[in-house]
Amino acid sequence: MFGQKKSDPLDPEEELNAKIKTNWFQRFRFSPVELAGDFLDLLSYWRQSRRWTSVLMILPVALIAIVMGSLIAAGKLSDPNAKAAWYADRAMKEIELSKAAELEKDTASNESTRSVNKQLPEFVDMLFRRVLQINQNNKFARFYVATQMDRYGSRGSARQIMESLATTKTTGYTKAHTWLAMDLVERSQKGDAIDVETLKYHLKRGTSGDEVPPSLLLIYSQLLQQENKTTESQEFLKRAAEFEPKLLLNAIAVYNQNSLSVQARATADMLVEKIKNKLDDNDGENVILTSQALMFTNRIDEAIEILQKGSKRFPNSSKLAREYSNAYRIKFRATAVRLSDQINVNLDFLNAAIAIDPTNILVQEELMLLSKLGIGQNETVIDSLRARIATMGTSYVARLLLAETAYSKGKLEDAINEYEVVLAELPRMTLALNNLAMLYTQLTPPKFDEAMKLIDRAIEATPKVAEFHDSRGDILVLQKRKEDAIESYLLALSSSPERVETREKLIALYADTEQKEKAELERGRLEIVKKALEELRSRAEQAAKQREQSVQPPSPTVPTTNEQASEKSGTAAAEQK
Amino acid sequence: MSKTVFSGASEESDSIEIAEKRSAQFVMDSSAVSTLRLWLFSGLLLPLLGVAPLLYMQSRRLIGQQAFWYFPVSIALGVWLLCGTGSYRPASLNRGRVAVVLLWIGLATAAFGIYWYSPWVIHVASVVVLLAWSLAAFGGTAWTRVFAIGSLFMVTVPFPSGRDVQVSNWLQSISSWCCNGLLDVLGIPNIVEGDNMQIAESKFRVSVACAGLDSVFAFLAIGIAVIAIRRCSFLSGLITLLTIPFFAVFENILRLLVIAIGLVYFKADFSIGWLHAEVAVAVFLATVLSFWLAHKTIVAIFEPITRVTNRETEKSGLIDLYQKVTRWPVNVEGQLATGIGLSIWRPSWVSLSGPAAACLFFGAITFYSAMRITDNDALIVDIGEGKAALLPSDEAFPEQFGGLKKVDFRNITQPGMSTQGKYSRLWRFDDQGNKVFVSLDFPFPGWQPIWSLYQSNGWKILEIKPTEAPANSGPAWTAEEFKMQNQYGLYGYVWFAFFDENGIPINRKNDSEQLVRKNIFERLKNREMPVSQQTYQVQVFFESGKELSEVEAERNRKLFFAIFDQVRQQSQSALMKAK
Repeated sequence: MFGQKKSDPLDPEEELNAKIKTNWFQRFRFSPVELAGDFLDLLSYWRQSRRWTSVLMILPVALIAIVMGSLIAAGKLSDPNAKAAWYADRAMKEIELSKAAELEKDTASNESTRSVNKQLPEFVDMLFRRVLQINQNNKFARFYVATQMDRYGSRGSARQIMESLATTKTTGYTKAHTWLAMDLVERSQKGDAIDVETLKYHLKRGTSGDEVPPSLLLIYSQLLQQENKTTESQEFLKRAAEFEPKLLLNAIAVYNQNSLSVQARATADMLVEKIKNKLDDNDGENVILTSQALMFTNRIDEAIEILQKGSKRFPNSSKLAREYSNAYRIKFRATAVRLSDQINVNLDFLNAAIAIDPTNILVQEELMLLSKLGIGQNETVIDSLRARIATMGTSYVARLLLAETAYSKGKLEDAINEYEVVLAELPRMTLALNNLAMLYTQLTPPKFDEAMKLIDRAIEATPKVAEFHDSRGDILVLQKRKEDAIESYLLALSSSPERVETREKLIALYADTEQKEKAELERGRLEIVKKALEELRSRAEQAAKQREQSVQPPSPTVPTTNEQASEKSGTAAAEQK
Repeated sequence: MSKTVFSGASEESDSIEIAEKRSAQFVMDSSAVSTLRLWLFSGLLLPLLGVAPLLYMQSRRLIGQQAFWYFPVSIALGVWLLCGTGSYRPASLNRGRVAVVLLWIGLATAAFGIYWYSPWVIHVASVVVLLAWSLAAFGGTAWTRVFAIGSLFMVTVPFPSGRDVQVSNWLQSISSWCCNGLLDVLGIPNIVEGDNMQIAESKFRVSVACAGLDSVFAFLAIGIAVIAIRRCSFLSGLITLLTIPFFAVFENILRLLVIAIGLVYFKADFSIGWLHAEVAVAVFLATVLSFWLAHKTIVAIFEPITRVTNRETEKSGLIDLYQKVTRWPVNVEGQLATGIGLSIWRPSWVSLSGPAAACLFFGAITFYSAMRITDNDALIVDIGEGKAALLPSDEAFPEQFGGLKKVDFRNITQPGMSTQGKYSRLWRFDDQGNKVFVSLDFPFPGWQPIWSLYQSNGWKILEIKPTEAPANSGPAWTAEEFKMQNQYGLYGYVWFAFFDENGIPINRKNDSEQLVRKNIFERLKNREMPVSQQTYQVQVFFESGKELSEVEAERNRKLFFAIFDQVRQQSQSALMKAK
């Protein structure tokens, strides 16, 4: 037995009893060998006296704990770079999936696709956040997080992160340079003062990447053009046009503004060339684009020809019809010739504009122009208009002008007759509908019901034209249907919030109906609108002055609607003339 | 060779049974009955009655914290185990004396608790009183067992100064950290940001999904109950209790793992709703089973050696030490049987009149104070919907304020009972593209640090420092400011300060002393209502993508004081109206 002592001269039993009587500490054997022996004895007795079934009960729990512990250790001790790379890869895959889902949504919009798209960005966001958690210097992840912050309204913080990724001292992360350039352009559009040199710096580095917004390429191209770096400018322009041919219109507009007609024409040709084989695509959009490029460079006849063909291919395209109508409207203006004491105009062009699109409210501008020129006061002109009707039959412009003249002379019945004739020919001519409706309200007794029917027809044809809602409101006021009138004025203001007169009428109505709080609110808004209009005006003047004095980043704004485009093209064409 | 039998577990059980039988055979004489009656009255009922109002407040608080919902069960179990010993009879003389000393300690603690008006201190005092009473009233039960059962009462006391929450947060962070590694290995994308966790597309709060604190303290109560019922040795019991944090973390990891697997493989969200409750119960039961198996193993490993062995071995001190350690305190219970017949403690009315008088005094004070100043349930601060509605709203700030542009406003009310700012007014401003949040949160009990909230959302606190208010805003006071950064490199700057019902700013130094633990005499003298404990917090959070320069920080500091004054003044007039 371990720890057994050597034989003793005393009686062993007595010796043992004596030892047992002492306490355990006194009996403790501190010699290492004896202690080891005691310990092994203890182990031996311990092992023999265990209830091993109970001891082994821990096994399933221990097994689970060991497996879990090992997995946790493996996860925690794995290479952080490899882990970050795994998360980044996963994020990239998710982005690809997201893009694919977007495409799918474009072709077949269904609920499931939408839900996938809704979930993905948040998931991708999480993946990038994790990449950053593992490796804070991962530029791509930081860039992504910054763009997310921008999306959630923290533009300033996003900008600061981007600035740390792309400093103005050394070439940084290309995408961050691109983002910062875009940010500067947007700030400039909002009226903030920006440093053009910084913009150029970021543009130079940002445009070297693959995924550069076309609008940015366009701006850089224009800036280069301003520095007379024509070759480089054209290269960037071509890159921009690869993605978005429409952007070239902006370039043309800027060239026109700077009297660079050769460059403008070359760019327009580039655009026409790019889409000439795609005129049948895109629901007539490419036809419109081509016509706009041509009109921007004063080739109205060519534009009309293209539009004529296009309208045959796309007879139901209202956009195309409006563009076609505007082309004639512009031609009408462009062909006006001032002689010594008179202006020669070709009313056929305006007639064509009305006939092509009777809902084109912009025709009103031309009619107003003619009125301003004193057509109503000149008997010779009136006679010639009558003669024209007598010889050539229907002339909408002549009748509209005669109606206007009759109205100005107080001959309401005559004016009504003229409008009714026009409407008999062109029942959707919104301008005539509106004017006739207003005439009915001035009769004695007023014909409110007829007026209402006419204005409703005008609204039905062009629901977004604020003018008609305003007229409707006026009729309702005369009918003393004040609440309905308020509704109409609000509709007018929802389309054109800048309408000062409509807002003033609305305030008066609120005051009349004792809606003081609303009246007060509208008064506040009116002040804001007036202030904004004033600011806009002064900013425009200032910008014009600055443009004359120094180099400024050009505006990347692309006409978003055809009407805007037509207006721009019209103005440009008129300016050129 | 002669053989002998080691006095092992079976022998211990026999001796305990003998002790209990002898205890049952004990016939109490009339003086013993009178002693017990007197002791029940002056050693338990009177002290508890004396602190009843504050004890009631403490129970309301415990009910308000999910982590302590088990406390009635724990107390009931303790009472049942004490009564189940069948040894309700006077203790020995020495034990009786110890019990009286303990009673006085309990009463002194109660006096302190009443003076500082602290329900928590009263809770501690009540547990001490209960232990003292049990020690002398259950004379037939070993003192070690009384303390073991008494642990069931002790475990109902939350850690002081919010340490229990810190323990919970620590355990949660360990669970999240472990789960993070586990999910990485399993190829399940996940992220842990403070208390927030996102697995795949689903985000949830770890504290809500795991309820870490609930399991730790509930497990502790379960562990103590198991040890007390099974009469484990101290060593086995201690080791069993030491495994509890492990099982709490184990349970949390298991829950998170189940949630992750549910989300990724079954597209089912187990972090909310009834599924969450079912998963929680199932995981809890599985963990309890694991705990039970572990306990059985621990007991089996650390039980005394029972095998018949060579008598020679008995002379080994090491084995003897092992036997003593693994048998304690069961051997104390065994010896108790032989202790019967020793001189018994018989307190007189005179000797217990002191505690009785003290208890009556406490009772009078607390009942009076309860009537005077606790008509609104003092420390559970809730100012009510009506009054809350009067406090500043969206219009408190114009569209432009100090160069900030107002973007959004939200009115938030936390559901249920909350002592940490039930109501919030949240304004969002734009500061040249950077987000600025201004919030008015109320009511709070006194001054509270708020940086832990940001920490739980993944922010790392870089610096905390006081900042003095400008001299023109009345008496000198300081707000707190802290700088932090998150893993995305974003910086956050927070300034915050509290003001009381009268609109007076509160300094951090005076937080608990002046408001929460204000002594009762001062409050009675000033006829202060408990409502004076309510505080209102204004905090301003500035987000930035870069570290602010001192000039920028100074500008924000000034802005904070302007905002604080704006909110404080408007709140003050609203609160005056409410009065």
